[in-house]
Amino acid sequence: MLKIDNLHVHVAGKEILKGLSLQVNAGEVHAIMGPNGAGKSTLGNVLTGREGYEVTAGSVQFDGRDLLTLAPEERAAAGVFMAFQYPVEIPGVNNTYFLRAALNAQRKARGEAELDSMQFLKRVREKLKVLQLPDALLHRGVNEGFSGGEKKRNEIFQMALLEPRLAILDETDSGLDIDALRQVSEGVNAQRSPQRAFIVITHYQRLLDHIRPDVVHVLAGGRIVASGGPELALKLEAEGYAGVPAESGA
Amino acid sequence: MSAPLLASALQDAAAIALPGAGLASVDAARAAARAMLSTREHLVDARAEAWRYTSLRALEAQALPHARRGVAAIDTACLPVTHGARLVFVDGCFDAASSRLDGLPAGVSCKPLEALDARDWAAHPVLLQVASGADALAPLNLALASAGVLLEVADGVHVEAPLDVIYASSLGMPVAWHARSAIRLGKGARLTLREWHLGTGSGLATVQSHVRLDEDARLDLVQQQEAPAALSLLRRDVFNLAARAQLRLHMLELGAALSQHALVVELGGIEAQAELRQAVALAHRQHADLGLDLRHAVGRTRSDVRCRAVVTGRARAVLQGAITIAAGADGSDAALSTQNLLLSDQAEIDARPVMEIHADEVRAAHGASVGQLDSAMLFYLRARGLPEAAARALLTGAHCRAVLDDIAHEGLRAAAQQALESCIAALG
Ligand SMILES: Nc1ncnc2c1ncn2[C@@H]1O[C@H](COP(=O)(O)OP(=O)(O)OP(=O)(O)O)[C@@H](O)[C@H]1O
Ligand SMILES: [Mg+2]
Repeated sequence: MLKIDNLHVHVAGKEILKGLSLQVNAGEVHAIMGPNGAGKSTLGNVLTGREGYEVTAGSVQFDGRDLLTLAPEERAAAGVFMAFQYPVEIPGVNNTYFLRAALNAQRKARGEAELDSMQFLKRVREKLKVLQLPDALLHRGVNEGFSGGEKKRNEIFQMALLEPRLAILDETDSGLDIDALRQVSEGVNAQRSPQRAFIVITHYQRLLDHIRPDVVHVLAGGRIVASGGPELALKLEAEGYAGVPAESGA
Repeated sequence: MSAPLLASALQDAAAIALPGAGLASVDAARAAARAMLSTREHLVDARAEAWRYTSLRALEAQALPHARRGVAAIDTACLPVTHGARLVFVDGCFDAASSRLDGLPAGVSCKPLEALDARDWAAHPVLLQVASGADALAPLNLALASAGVLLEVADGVHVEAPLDVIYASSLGMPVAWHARSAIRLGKGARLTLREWHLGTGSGLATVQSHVRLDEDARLDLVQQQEAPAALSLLRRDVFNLAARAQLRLHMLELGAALSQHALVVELGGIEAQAELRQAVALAHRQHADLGLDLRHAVGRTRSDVRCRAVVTGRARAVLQGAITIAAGADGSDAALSTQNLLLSDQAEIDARPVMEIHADEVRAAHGASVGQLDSAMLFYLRARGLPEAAARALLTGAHCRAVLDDIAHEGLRAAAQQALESCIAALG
């Protein structure tokens, strides 16, 4: 589904990703761990098409298409979703209105029928239950005045609603209380299917207790320096990053 | 040599039958206004501070005929939804067929200018007065006013349904028309009023109003300016507030090629308060200028002004003028904020209001910003699937809509938001 090959990315004139390669197949869950500043969010931003991230070499294929030539909204319609590490507050843009507009824009781009407000609300109700998000948040501005945890839950709620094919979760677990962590994990697990893939960026093993990854990668110095099964996360938790091969490795 | 616009206005003023003609006081006042007008060369003094950003030279070079009764016509079905009584003026002529004046509660008197009798004119001298000054707009408006209302709400009367005064333009050829109103709310009276400019005509319109709010009165006023794209609209509103009176004014500036609005608010009684909100959305070569003159004349008065503009194309939005806290107006509270979005390189925003404070123990807050759309917000919306244009429109709308959220009447709020929404969608 996703094939990243030798990706080099500059941000603000500095090389952040230095030859990153990664393949994610449909149905898989990949966890990416790695020290602060390693380039994990940069990877997510490049995959979703944020401005200011200059690809100087390498390629990214998504379902056989060159992902890097697509506008952010085209990537979304193709099924790429990122739950942001720091979801932005957008005062005055109503959450429900925005989500319906976004969902319908995606459906339209894919040549699917748009949902009317009844159909949309039905879908909203279903997804809200899983994440235990208070109804009231839907009537506010996007993330406006949401607590840190509410913002993260709202990201997963959006994911559940938009049903992407590839979801990148960037530290969705940080800032969540124990119950919220479970709800968010349930939200993700409910979405797991042979057609979908997840890239879960996290610093903590505990999220991976709830969302069992198929593969765990260590991203350090702009590359994947180690990959393994779930046991790699346990090892990192115990030993830190000192034990993994340095930049030259992988 | 006076400007063609003034010359043609003088000719028309002598030839046309206007409301109140035949009443000695009205005839005398109009004659005096004509005499004043005949001494003017230009519509305004281009060197005056108030006209620093707005030029009327191109406008005054046109000899615009005054709109005549009977020529104008508007399809009632085209008029927007209103909730209570309404007065409709089409190209400066009262349109009785489209208006609805039955059902006004006891204690409310609402008449078009042409229905005023000698007593009405005498009881409201502001209708016949012209402020001194170099400006030719005031005498022009008085000399030729064919439209406008006299609206009085008696002490203690609360008018529930909002009242509409609609100024529609309809003519294919450019014309001039002028409206002049006096509004008075008695002690403790309450009224919700909408002044709505719309239609498809072109030319010049001047609209001047005097509003007096007695002690404890409250006026909720929405001025929804969706005037036709080829019209020049010059407005002047003077508000006088007595003790504890409240003015809530929402101004929507969406239409007109050129819109200049002189807004004078005098907080003349203790604890009087004014909340002014303005949402501006301009494109192409539109030009909108709000000249504010807000005076805290006595102590413990409060004002809160919030303006949000978004301009694109080669449009220009101007906010200038002053909030003055007079000597002795101690304990007053004034806040002014203007936040603006520039969506194109060639658009322009001049937001330079000042605060002049001559009193003690006042609270005065003042903030101005001009910026572009926030790129992180834009990316967030697009990353969820919204096309760029839709994402921009959504953010732009949210920026301006914030100042409409506190329109108290739900129907009026929805109509204002809807108008803003469609205007912004058309900005592209
Ligand atoms: N817009 C930017 N401008 C300048 N530097 C940037 C920008 N975005 C990222 N960087 C830099 O790139 C590096 C990688 O950042 P990134 O956010 O990808 O790290 P991360 O692995 O997600 O770290 P964390 O675990 O702290 O979230 C950092 O050194 C960061 O300062
Ligand atoms: Mg990060």
